[in-house]
Amino acid sequence: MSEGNYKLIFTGPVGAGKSSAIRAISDTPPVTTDATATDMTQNIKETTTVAMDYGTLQLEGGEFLHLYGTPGQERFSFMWDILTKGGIGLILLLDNTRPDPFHDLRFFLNSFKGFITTTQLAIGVTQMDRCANPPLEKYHEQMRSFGLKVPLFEVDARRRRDIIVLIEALLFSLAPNLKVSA
Amino acid sequence: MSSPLDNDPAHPLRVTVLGMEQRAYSTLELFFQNLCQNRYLISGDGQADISIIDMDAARANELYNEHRGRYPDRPILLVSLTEIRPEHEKERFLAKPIRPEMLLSSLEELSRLVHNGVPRTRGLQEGVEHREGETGTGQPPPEVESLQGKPGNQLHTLPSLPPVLDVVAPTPRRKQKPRPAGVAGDGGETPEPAPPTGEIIPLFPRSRSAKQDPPESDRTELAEDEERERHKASFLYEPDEYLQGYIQQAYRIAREERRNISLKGPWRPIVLLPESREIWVEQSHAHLYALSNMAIRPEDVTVTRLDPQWSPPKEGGSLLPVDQFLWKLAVRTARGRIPAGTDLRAPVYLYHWPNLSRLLPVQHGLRIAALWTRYPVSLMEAATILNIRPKYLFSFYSAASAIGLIGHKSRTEGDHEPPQPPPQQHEHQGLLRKILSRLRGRGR
Repeated sequence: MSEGNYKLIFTGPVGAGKSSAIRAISDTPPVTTDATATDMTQNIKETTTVAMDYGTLQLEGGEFLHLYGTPGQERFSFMWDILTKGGIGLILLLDNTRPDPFHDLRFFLNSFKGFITTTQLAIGVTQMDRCANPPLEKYHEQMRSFGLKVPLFEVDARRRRDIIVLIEALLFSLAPNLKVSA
Repeated sequence: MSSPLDNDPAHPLRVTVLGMEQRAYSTLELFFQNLCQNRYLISGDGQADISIIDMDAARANELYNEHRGRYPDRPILLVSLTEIRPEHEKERFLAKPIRPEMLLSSLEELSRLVHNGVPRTRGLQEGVEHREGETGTGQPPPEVESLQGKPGNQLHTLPSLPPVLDVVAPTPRRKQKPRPAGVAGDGGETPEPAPPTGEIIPLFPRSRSAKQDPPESDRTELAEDEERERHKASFLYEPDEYLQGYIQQAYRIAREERRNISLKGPWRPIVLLPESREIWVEQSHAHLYALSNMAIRPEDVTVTRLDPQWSPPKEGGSLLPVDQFLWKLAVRTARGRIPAGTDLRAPVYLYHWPNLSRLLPVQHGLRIAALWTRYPVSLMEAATILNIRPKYLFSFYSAASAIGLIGHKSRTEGDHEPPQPPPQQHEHQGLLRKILSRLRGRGR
């Protein structure tokens, strides 16, 4: 991790809310590389991220936390290794309305296995207000088969508070004795 | 025949409350408004007919002396966890946790002492006594009994109770086969037919009020432990005595039987729906949460199975996730305490992270969850590791326990395993602190 430049990675399938999440917390309007969807994605949304989303959080002392959102389509997975290099942790967003969200879960856990092993993971499940099934308990069961006990919350990716809770949980997973000075 | 001095809602008795924390104060206010039909009204110090003083408050004695000095003739109700023997003839003592019927009884007794002992209140308590008679407990509370023999203190012939108290009325229980605590229709040796809809299910088979006095030989020892017990009482509570415990038990039965269960008591109907993991409440959430600190007797609660076709009415009431409701209720009930019987030294862990984005925030909740999902450590060790006040851990523990997320490692079990290394400082601790600080709106 280069001094003064730190990365937090957002990943997940198409439409899970990565762009919205970065927009919700970034200091500056996020840079997106959305393009008109021409493949199957167009059934889900009009535009999609073809390279990445990017936002920043300025920290005390002039340092920056860079927020990167990976493109959702699997064909861009070659970029994921590059993006995660030097990252402090991974936020995985899953869309509960997808046909098989557990397939998505397993896919991303396997894809980022190396990164998760050396850092930490927090999972946000979106669209639960539209589709309550599967419930979070079923996700926890899936996680157990991976031997993982990570933060897993219902979130609305547009809500700043939800995304902050998710990131804070990730930070405390990295260091439970972390404390903000009063 | 009613008296012109009857305490009807148009002429409520004014009660001032001193030394009570805000939540208990609000509970009392709601209690007067909803369950007493405004026969009592919280008022300022100067206008009050009766005073209630929480003798567990900081500087309570000072508060009491000052108040008594200013109002030498005013009836005062002293409430406390430990017994107080009132020295003034116009004082009564009420033990915590405050039970609604005992509070009513005490207030009615004191109300008779207002205005030179002429009774003013319409007998809410009489209605409660009548219902106690129905359940066979028979005797009125001692305070009431002691007054009945005194001239000028006889109870009036009273009109019937207001409808809201009908909800409080205990329902006679049917005789049932002995079953494990709180579990109805769970079979046993011989399979039983599916339990019928509408059958009343016992939640707490033994009446908690039926505790026997200890034998004489044990009393000295108990007296010696009194100080320790008093200290313990400050951080322990019995969830089963409160709405929290009733909902937990009813929900457990609902899940085991996969049936919708209705819970009735001193509140409007509550229905637990295990299939969707939801709770339907007719009353406003605020009112229910306000009941969180009120001790409730098992006799006042009935649990019944509902028709499998039951669905929440389209209008009135609201549905919400049962975990969300129970978590909040437990936080409100626990108020920084843990359920009685919790082993402070047993290592604790979480089965998984609670859904903290949708649950009532508990101070340091994320840190506690992060610790207990990775490191099984006791409550006391956790307080040391996280360097936080135990009351925050206790609140979290009680809430997580209420929704079934707490696991315990026995201390013996722990002895065979290598001790868990405590969490180390992260190599980028400074950076993480800066990010956290930034997310919380500081440090930029």
